Amino acid sequence: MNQEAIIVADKVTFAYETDQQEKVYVVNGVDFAIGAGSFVSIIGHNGSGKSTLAKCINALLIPEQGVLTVSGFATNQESSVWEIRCRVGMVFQNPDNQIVGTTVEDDVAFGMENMGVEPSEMRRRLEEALQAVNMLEYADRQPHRLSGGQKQRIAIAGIMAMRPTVMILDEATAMLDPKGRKEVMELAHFLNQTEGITVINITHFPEETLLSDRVIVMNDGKVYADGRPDEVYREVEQLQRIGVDVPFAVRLRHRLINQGVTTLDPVLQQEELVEQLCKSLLRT
Amino acid sequence: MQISLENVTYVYGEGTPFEKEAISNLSLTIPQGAYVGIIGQTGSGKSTLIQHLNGLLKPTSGTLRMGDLEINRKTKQTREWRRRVGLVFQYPEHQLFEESVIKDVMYGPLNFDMPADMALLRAREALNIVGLPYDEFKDRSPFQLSGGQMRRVAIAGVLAMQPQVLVLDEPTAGLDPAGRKAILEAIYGIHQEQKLTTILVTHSMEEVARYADMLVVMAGGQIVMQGKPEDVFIQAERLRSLALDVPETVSLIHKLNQRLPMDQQIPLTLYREEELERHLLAMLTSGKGVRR
Repeated sequence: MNQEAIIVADKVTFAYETDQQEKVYVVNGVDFAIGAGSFVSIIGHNGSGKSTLAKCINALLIPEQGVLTVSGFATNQESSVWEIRCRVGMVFQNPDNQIVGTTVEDDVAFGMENMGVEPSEMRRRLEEALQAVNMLEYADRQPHRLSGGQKQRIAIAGIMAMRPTVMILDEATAMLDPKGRKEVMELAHFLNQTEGITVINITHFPEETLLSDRVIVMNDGKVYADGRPDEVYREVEQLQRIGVDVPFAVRLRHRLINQGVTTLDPVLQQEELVEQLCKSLLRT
Repeated sequence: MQISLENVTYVYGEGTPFEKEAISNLSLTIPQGAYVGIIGQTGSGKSTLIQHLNGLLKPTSGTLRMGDLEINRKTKQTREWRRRVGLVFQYPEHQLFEESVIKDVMYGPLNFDMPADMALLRAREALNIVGLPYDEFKDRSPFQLSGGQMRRVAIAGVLAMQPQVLVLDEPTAGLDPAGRKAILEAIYGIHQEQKLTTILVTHSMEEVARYADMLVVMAGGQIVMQGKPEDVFIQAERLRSLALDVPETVSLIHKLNQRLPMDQQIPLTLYREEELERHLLAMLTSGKGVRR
């Protein structure tokens, strides 16, 4: 992939201070460059630094050392913060904590109002955003009466309407049922492909990362692995040792191989495993 | 302890314009010692059901029974019922409030009038069960722990009351794979050891496939399917139409069976990952189609 980098982290370090004034480094010397228009998943155990890193990207947290830039704006420059926040939209885990409007329309318009978007332009973008997340018919509804997946789609519409260049999903599917999860992930991929929005998906579900261009594995504040899904998920045991699960098909194939089966080529998706298994089992 | 519901209906906001029937004429018997998985889309009535199971809500009509106890619309006193049924809410770590781990875990037992020395003993046991060694954690502030540890403190608080029935509402939401496994294994351990009746509400088909011996599927305030896991999983299309899914293992078995000859069909009872793995290994190494 030969894209222009939109987010660049250069030796980014962030520490919390405990009550005993000890420093705990949650992000420790992280370097990466994320290409414009790519779909990147970040995985890692609880406390590995994933969410802290995400908050560093939209300048909610400022690195203690190192520099993080978004479209060339450094997050540690006070004057850049506004520019960055207009470019980076963030969807959090709990849908109920990020709804502010009394109707779906109000909620989606909230971000635009803060940015001072013209009313006529606001109306246009509102409809467009609700259309994109397939929630236009819910415009007059009260958000608290929607399902979890619908609420997350509303949150995403609010971000869309702000015309971001980057969207970060910080475990945005963790509280949703299987259908809600699927809706949100399909929408993220759709926006990535049709609008060219750079998507960063932070998740504990390895199956969600399979369609990403790139998977970054965080461990103890550092980048542990970084590559295409098929590259990253090759190291099953190493990943499991640091508390990261691998997709079902990868795991099952790996166990079979470890017990002496020699006929299965590497797989990522379940369909590929079915193909490989049938090839072996039907070869009589 | 067996719990049964007979024709239970619950209406929120009865007599107001917002009146809504959350569960409708629901009957269910949960046998003593069962590990029941309750699944269903958001809004299907799962939460309303489990709030009845622990006596937080009283049915608008219908009856709940457990041993010699009964709850109906007119029941005044549900204390004894609530003492027997421990409920772990969603995100239970939000309810921690004491200054030390041990005080927080002892709060429930003390609140149910257990003598202090007994409460301490129970709290100590409960902490060890959830994998937080008593000596190491007792004096720490719950708020200085990781999310997974905080949740285990909250679960210990319920276990310390020594309930006979344990109800868990999405106990693993938001945890990483290692944290999910630690909590579920601890719960399964105590389920078997103390012969608890355990009820797990989850969105994860993988979790119910691993632990539950009975599944209850809810939709629109009613039970639409129930039975042994394999009997539920066989109805994959029906589950999908309810916005649910089957575990990865089941979906793999379905796809393989579509391509494999009759004599090589894989039984759906192998929905647990290790069992499927063992079966596949045997198929692959039996010489049938495999040169080694």
